[in-house]
Amino acid sequence: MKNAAHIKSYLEGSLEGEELQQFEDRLKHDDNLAEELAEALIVQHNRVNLKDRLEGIHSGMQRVSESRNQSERWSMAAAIAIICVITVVLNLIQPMGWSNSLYRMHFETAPPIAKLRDPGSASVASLEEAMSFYINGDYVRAEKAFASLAQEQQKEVYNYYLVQSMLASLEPDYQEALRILDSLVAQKGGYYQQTLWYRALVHMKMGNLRDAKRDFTALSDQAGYKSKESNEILKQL
Amino acid sequence: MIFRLGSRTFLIIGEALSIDNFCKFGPHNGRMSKDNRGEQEMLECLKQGMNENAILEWIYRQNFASVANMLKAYGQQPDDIKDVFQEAVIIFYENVKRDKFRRESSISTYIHAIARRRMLKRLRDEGKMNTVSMDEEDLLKSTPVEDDFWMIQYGQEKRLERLLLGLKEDCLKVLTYFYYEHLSMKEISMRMKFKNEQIARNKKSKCLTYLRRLWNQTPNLD
Repeated sequence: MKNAAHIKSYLEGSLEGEELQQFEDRLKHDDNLAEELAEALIVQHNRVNLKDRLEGIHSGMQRVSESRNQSERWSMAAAIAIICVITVVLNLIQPMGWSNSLYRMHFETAPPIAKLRDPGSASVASLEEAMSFYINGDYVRAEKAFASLAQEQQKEVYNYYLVQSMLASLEPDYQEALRILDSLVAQKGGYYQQTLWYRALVHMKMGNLRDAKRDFTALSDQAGYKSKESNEILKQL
Repeated sequence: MIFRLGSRTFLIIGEALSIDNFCKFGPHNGRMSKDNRGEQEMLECLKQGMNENAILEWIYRQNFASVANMLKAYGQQPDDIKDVFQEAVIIFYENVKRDKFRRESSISTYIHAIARRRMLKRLRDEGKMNTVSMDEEDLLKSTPVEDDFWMIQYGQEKRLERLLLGLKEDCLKVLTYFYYEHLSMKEISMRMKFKNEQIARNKKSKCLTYLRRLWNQTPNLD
């Protein structure tokens, strides 16, 4: 292109004044210049169009990249959230698992000393029958028998062994056991410390660690029944 | 084999594709492998102007990151990197259209080489060649840099539009085939479905005359 520099300046708008006038005058009569300008014009028109298409592709790539980054950020946030949830759940489950094993380690049924301590006045025969179930490990029958006795006469000993039978059965109703234990603790009778111990164990089993700690602390402070064991459990909780 | 299900068209991979079908499906159907099988078909589609957008997009996505990394090593900024890369793609495209790309290297190698030369030219023009090694200066001297390539500044394209205002679509096509794609009159007559080359020649001449008439009617661009 002989006139390339002028054409470039003309298309870029940098030709001014007299120079511009001269160029436009020449354009009217100079066929070569006109053809060269036409060529440059068509080439530039196509390059600009192509550049626009490439800009579109570039923007699309950036959008994808940004959305990928965003989705990566969301994935990261979701992963962190899942880890947090798992951590919280594990923190909730682990103490329960631990308290379960502590319960299993420490729970054992109370010795059948009721007959000696309290032969009872209502129905010695029924108590003996209930206690024989209890001694033989037939806790389902023992539970029924003690429940029947407790219904007849609200004696601490009946309820105490009723709870023992309930807790020793295959599928204990801990909630009901806890209700009975609460009423026994409230009575502050002869089985108070034993009841407190079993209530603490049931609280621990049910994951009520704060209540369990409260009862174990009470036992530990009294330096009496199961105070040593309570102290050890408190250290482990 | 190609079959249709509802509004979708499916291609069974593994079948040899005709150029027409390759161009129709583009390079996204898995036929473009790492060893660049299918490049020839892709270049043929570009040359024929078929499915250009999909092919350009594929080439852009395949090469941008690696070219950008190369340009970054020379301390180029993101906007310059994008401009240099796009220039390289435009030059590649034009060379394909004008049969200047002889397939002596892969598309990727070719675009990388152009981008590198364009970047070195920029550094030279900006007087920053001291950041470039002697080997690269030698490369610049020994290989063509497409020195005559230039693009109108972004924002100045309205001047072009005004100079082309009123030109009919078929004229723009004929002039584009002739001046931009460097097609022969025979090829233009085939693309435009003219009966013979002479009609194409006359059409080009008439369009040029018409364009000059438009310029004479156009008031001063500034």
